Amino acid sequence: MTRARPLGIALALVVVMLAVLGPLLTADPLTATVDGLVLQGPTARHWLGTDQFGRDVLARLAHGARLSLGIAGLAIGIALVIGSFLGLLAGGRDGLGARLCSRAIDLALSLPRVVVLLVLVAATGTLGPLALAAVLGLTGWPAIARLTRGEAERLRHAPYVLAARTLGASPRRQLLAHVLPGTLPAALIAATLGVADVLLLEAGLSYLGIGVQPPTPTWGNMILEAQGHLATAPRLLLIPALALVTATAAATLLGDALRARLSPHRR
Amino acid sequence: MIGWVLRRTAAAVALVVLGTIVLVVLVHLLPGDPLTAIIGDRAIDPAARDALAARWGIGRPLPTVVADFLRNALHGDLGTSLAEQRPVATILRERLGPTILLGGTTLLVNFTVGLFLGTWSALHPESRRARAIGAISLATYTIPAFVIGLGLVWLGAIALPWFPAGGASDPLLDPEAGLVAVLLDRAHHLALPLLTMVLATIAVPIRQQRSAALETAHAAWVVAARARGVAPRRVAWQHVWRPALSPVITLLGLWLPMLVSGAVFVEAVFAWPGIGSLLATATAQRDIPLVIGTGVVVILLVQVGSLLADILQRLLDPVQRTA
Repeated sequence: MTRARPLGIALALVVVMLAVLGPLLTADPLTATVDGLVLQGPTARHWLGTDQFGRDVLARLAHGARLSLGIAGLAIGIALVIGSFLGLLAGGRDGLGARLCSRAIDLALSLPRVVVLLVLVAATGTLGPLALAAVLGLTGWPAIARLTRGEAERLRHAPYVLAARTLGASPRRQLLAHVLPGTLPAALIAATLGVADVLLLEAGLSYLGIGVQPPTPTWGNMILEAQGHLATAPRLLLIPALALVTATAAATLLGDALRARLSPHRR
Repeated sequence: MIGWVLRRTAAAVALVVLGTIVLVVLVHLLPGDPLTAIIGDRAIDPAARDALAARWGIGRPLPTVVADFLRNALHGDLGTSLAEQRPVATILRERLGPTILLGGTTLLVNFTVGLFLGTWSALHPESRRARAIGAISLATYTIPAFVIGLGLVWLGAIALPWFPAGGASDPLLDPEAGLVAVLLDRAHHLALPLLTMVLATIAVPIRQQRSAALETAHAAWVVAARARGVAPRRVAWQHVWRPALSPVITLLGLWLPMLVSGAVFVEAVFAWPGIGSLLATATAQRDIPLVIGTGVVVILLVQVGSLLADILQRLLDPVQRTA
């Protein structure tokens, strides 16, 4: 795992640079290129070639990166807030409320995420990027909540929390100021690893035609559009797939590195 | 043991019922009601609109809607599909077979090949081959299932046109064809989806079995067996493999949702006529009764699977069996 961290950081940098700088340097992803050549292989002008409408593939990849990463970041943020909150409520105290919270987390864990996701999409109709991020976040919190609950159960009897209680800290202060910070490392690790899941789900939904709609590019709908040209231009599948795998691998490696760094007692 | 099985079954039933309630409630609480989905942009007679509203429970209090859905579901009635105008339960029955075929064969391969590779890499942890197994399975695990599927379509149906790119059987097959011909046709169609599912999921059993076997490899009884001269092969498969199986079976319950979510995308790639591709198309068509019905069946399958895994694990573990 010693080589995992530099590799993860390097891969993450490549993807983030693509998302941040790419759209500034490349052509318009929605319109055909000036020379108008369709399904053209890589050239000096179009580094990754053009697609079936003569659009620059690199431009679409870069704009897609911005959207895919943006959605993933927002979704994980939502999942982290909900998961931490519910996990803290379930694990940080006793009583009926905590038990109900805990059962709700167990119920949510028992529901397959893809099923809930598709039911949400079917009920609301085709989603824009923001709504898609919200839906992905709303289905992503149970794993984080379970981890936070476990950490909170462990920490609330820790000597330093006991000390705070002895000094007269209110229950709310004990939870927010003393237990919550201790649960964050585990939640952050889960969130980093969860970025990979969200990227895959977002791409999967777009691939099924129910995520972000063309012509707006995401890696998922680029893969969907490539499907029809598999025989003549497999490159159109390979390029967004490679970007997707790079991003998920970066998230997984970073999550593993974070785990090694933040929780030495678990190794 | 019997008391435990009953309690565990009751918990599973409760989770299925609660899960169903969650799905129905979610659909009804969200903006965009089913009626808009049915009608779309078409102009519609107000009377017909009211009739549809009454049929889909729009405007009725949520508890009534949920109670009605549960009561009908208990009688095997999951409503009527909007797109196909047929009972959801009938459609699901047609789709169950292919999904169980694909999921079952995937589990079978994971359980045989996956566990063998996992144990083997634990017994030879430093070997180059074990490292290759770990790296390759991790790599295929990182690639999304539908991308593996599309890659295999390119490789196995386009570049080397040996396999069909989609479907579960050849519609042009002679209906009088013998059993062997039918089975060969099915296997021919199953090959690429199965390989996709296996590549996408096998890393989990390999890694779990490997770490479980690594732990038992240094247990006292293994050292004792080795010391009294038991053949290495026998030590491996009798003394290391079997005790290491238990945690893997526990986690079997956790693979099932993964098989389901993998199946949604893989079945969509190969137009495999199962539950997964049904869920995908029903969602795209906003066929809400069909989506809910399929969701309920998936939740049921997942709970049944995890219940069976728990019982199996109890039966295999001598300590828990007597407890």
